[in-house]
Amino acid sequence: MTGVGIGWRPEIAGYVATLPGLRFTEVVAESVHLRHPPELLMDLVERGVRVVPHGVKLSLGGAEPVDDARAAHLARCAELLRSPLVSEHIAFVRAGGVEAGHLLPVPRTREAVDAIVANVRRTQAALGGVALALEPIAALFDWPDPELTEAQFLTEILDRTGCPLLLDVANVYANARNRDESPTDLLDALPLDRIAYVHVAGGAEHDGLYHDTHTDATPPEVLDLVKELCARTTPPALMLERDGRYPPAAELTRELDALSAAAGLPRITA
Amino acid sequence: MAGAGDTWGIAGPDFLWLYAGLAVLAIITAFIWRRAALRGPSMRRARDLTPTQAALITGDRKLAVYSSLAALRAARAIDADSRGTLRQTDRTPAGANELDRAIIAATGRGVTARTVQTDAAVIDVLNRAEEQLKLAGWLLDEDRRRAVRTGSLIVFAAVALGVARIVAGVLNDRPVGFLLMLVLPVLFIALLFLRVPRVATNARRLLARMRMRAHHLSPRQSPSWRTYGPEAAALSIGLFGAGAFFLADPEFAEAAELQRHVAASGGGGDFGGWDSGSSSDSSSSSSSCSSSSSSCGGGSSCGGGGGGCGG
Repeated sequence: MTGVGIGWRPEIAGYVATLPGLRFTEVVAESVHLRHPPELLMDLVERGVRVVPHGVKLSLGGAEPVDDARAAHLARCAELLRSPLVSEHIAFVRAGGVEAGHLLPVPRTREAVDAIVANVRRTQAALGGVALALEPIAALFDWPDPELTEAQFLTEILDRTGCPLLLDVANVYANARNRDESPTDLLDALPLDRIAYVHVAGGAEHDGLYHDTHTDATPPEVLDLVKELCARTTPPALMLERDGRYPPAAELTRELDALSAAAGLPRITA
Repeated sequence: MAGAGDTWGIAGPDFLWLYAGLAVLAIITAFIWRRAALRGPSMRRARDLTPTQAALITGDRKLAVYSSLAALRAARAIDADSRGTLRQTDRTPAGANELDRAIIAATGRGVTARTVQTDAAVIDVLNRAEEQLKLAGWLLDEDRRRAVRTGSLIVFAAVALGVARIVAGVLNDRPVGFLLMLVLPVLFIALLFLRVPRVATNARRLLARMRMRAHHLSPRQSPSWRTYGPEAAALSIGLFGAGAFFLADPEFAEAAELQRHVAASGGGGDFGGWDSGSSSDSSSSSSSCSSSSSSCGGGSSCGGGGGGCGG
């Protein structure tokens, strides 16, 4: 899996299909109907484009064990899309049967690490040999009294599970900015050698807080952080996430080209 | 075989078989004629239709107007106020087609999405677009439709023959029940043949081909018009009907009071080329004589055996 990609969404599937240099993309696993997968997505698989199922509802960070049916769906998606890799968030989306509808941050405690590691192992068992990349989320708040820094928390989980990292540069930027920290300091503390691929997305500021919206253009600051990242390591692949308010094709192309330029990778748009 | 009292000198059962054979022959002939007359231009040489053309074939003039509204909306060139009056909000987009331009011009005259169809300049463009489609053969003009109907005369001739025999049989005091049961379905098929679609069979096929290729514009994908651009937005409506508007641009669709069910979904079978929905009826009418109660006494098979039931 190499190069620059863009998240596959039905709304822009016709645009994604026309990208001549596209080598990999990602699809929201929960949106894939296994018996009727989207034709346009399967066309990409036939073309040899790597399609990574990206889970958003497994709730690896929940106190209760992950739902086996959801883990099995992720595994079957990987099989259907012939992907050696799936990804999920380090977050919880439900507790005590109540759906939050959001990715919520997990308190950075040793107890939480144990729970997440148990959930990841359970998911790995369901996945067979397919790798599971873990993505830390953008948090607008922190739980009080953390026992571990964000980097320690993440490294410990990755070390104990052997999972690769799905690094969201926009999240790193958002977290650093909202906590008044330096994004490069956070970058330096993360296990960058474990990166499977990178998410890049746009966001916007509301009431002094930066929101990782995925519905705005990628700001220059995030692209600068991509440059900083690529100066420190060579991430195998970087992907633009756009989840709504889709702009004209020319703007998406410009954004993808800007991402390629920031990462020093060849353009995929021509 | 012929007995002394047989109508026209042909025994009832013999006539039934003869008549069934003739009727089937007439129906097959009319069907072949009809299929050829409805076929339309060659698919192989056909180029894709424009959004306006696709809309006129999929639906009607209203859908053609909607497809232009979609293009103008995707280009952010128009808006609708609270009363549904259309307003131009940006300059005419570079790729605007004739209908788009006519509609933009009409916004200066205070039209709504409903009344824009009655604008003289818009009507003029639509008339010409329809004429072109008829000239090319994708839409069937009056001459062609008359020719298609003429082909059904042969089936009506079969009906007439059956009716003549029934009348003669009744006058001859012979039972006519089985023949009547045979003539009625033939009459039904003849009436079906009178229905002539508006659109050539190959036009439907061409649309089906375009829909396959433009799968990403199907409402099921809730396609982003903004990403794909004005022409794709227009094509989305032209190929898939007005419902796409309510997914892609619900605000405008509501404000402009568009009608959701204008050509709600394209497609439908093109077998034999009648208007959608009626094609399945013809198979059920294939003459069956298995009914046990008949005017002919004994419950034997149709026309065979105890003679006299064919008039």
